[in-house]
Amino acid sequence: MAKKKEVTAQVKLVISAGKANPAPPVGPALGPHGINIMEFCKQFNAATQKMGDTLVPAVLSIYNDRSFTFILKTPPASELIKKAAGIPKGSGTPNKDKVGVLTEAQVEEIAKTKMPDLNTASLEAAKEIIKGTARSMGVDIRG
Amino acid sequence: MSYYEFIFEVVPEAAETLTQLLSDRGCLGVYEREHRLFSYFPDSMGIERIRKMVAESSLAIMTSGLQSDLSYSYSYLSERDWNETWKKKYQPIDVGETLTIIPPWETAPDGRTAIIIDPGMAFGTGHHETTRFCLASIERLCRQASHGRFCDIGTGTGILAIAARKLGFAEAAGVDIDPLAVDAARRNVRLNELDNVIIYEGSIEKTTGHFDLVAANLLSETLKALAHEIEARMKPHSLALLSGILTGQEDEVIEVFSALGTAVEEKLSDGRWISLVIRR
Repeated sequence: MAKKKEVTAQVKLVISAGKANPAPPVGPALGPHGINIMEFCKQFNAATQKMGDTLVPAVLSIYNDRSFTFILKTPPASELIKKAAGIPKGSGTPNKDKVGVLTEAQVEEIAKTKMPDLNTASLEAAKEIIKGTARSMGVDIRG
Repeated sequence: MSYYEFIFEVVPEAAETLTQLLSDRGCLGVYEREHRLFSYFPDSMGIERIRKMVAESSLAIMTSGLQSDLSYSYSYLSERDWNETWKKKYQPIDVGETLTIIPPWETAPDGRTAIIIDPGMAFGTGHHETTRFCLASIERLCRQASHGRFCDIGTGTGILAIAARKLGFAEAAGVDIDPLAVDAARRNVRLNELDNVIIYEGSIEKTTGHFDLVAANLLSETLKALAHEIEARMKPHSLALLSGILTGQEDEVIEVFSALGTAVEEKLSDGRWISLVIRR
């Protein structure tokens, strides 16, 4: 009978689209698990090559035969906030310098987009996470 | 290259925001494990600058209200081979009808052609579907193509150029823009004790003349970007092997190459990856 394939580890990596290589963070994250790092890089870059210069979260499941699968997660909330607020980047000093504004409706829309990947099942809690991310970028929320 | 590794104690709600803040300040990427976030900066940034960037990120996290305090530790990581654990378990693999890929410390079974590959940090060990497909195809196409000149674009470990030479091509060239890959490929050419295999660092323009068989095991976007140069390196009526195309991306590659006057002779799929044989 064939040996049952079991997940031995799950690793969440966040790297730039199309730019995975064996250097950190990929090497230190995957090296100890004994999987073929170059193979992961090739698959990740193939799947993300059209996503432009954005961070892409990937969750890998590593199996007892050292094979792996991975799924890509939604873009970081900060990317969605920048797009919604129409700003190129967040503030370097968010406690002092504000660079943009989001409406409550925009916060809710982003929270709904991100819900599958946030550690909460509540829309209200998801909205609080998005507001927190916005504050960290110097983006104010207005009704 | 060496790195600084910063490890943060982070609540799940703040992990993504911290990742973005660090990335905006020069961090190369992160991974998460058990409420800890491992982040990496090139040592060329200098530790004082990195600490300043980390302090800015900590302040921004506190401003966000997602986490009130952020503790971290850091260490210096010298350059090393991150693929080493996998390589220790690297076993010989039979490909096609006659080829066996082996690490330098193994011997090939009798009656098979050994391709010795020390993978280093480059792509192409024969363990990936696209590399195996290319090797089997070169073996098969060797019976159809003239055994003159072979060229591999994005050669990685040099595995395809080495195989082509061992399978009878008079001359093989490999090009790669990655200096680590070029070092690995040149080392592998020496390990296989081959002459007439030249590895170039740089783009396809480094090669000269025309080829009887061109192989390009890349990604669909790169294949499209290099289509004109690939076609220009093919002798009239010769073949090219295009690989590394994810299922669903093949039509756009075919469209670009067809516009240059090439025709698809074969389309092969393992369900996930597509490879094409085209003729000029």
